[in-house]
Amino acid sequence: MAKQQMDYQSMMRELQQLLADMQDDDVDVDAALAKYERGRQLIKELNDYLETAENKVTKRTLE
Amino acid sequence: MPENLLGDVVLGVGDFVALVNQTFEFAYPSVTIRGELANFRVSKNKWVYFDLKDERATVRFFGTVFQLHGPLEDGMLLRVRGTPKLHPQYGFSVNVQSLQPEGEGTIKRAAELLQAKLEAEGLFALERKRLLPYPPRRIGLITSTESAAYADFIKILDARWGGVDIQCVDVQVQGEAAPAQIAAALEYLNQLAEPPEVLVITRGGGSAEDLYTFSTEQVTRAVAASRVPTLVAIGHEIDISLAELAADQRASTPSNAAELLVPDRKEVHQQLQHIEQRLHEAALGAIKSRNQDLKHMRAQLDQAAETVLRHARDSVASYDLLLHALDPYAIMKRGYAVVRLNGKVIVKRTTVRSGAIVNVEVSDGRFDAQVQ
Repeated sequence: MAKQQMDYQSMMRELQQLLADMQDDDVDVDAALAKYERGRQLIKELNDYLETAENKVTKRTLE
Repeated sequence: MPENLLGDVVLGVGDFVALVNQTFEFAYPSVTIRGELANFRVSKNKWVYFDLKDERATVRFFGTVFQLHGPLEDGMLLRVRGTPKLHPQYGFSVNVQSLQPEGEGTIKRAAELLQAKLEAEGLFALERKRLLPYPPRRIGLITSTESAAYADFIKILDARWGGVDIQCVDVQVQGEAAPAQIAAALEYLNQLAEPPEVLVITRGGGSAEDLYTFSTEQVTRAVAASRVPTLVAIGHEIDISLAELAADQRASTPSNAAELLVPDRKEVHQQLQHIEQRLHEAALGAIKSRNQDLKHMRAQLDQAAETVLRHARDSVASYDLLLHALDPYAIMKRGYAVVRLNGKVIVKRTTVRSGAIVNVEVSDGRFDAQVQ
């Protein structure tokens, strides 16, 4: 789970950067389309994460 | 009549003191006394002397500064646990094991005094506040796992978000042992090989006495000293505890703490939809702008082709004129003829003998002729 959560943060960062890049006026169309595909893939993975990730509690008592 | 155990035995003074102390240890190993603080003084920054009094009596106490939860002043109402002792030289006193302020007024005053002291040290300074990771991957939770606060926090966290690794340390959140347990839990979570990204210390509401733990010097300093950012959520609205002031962030209730820590997955779903829409628009925008470029290039290409064609046409026309000028038939029309002998054009007189039959071509046909 912890691994997935790390992926959430990095995927969200990548997605937001990618959107900013695509909104740049000078973006190359081939690069924009590649980013678009990557963006859609990230959105799918993020949605999957939101659906499936669960919290895990470990309880401890200090001696 | 109770039996007199000593009968007529005569004791030395030291023996009497030892006997009294043995009796205290057996009968009252620990007593808890409530009273008003008087004659409070600290010696050599280490020893603490004070009296507790009520309308009928005054008792002396002796302890160390490490047992204090913050500054004290005469007139405060205290509850002190300790062991009664008869000192060989200084007489009777109670050796302090623990002490706590009692009553809302005293607790408030004790918190004020401590707040002023710690404020002067800069413990509550805004520039010390750190941002909490959002959302965190690992949370250290310090609370009583039997409490409603724990249940509320986990319930709201689960409802909003997933994938968080929660290391929960079960502690008492009120009473004598609470400050030391909370401080130890803070230290424990801080020193983990992979420490949490945020520490949450929480409990529900309660009386001033119940919440006093969170305004003790030990807990406040431990929160301020945490290397991992802290969120303190104590379920009350009126007075803010000192631990909350020392924390990087505070929340009003355990549920509110969970709300501040993680986003709601429903909102993130919506945000993702919005991003997808913007991605789509950005991709279309890029294609549209490329289409404009192509149209522009096409126009430039058409223009260039036109120019090339025009030049070619001009060139062809001038060749046509030249060709026309050099056309032998045009010359024949002006009266010239081509003479051939056996199909070869005669350009010199010496190449034909007299009597030879040659073929003569003029502008509208051919005929044979004999050379003389």
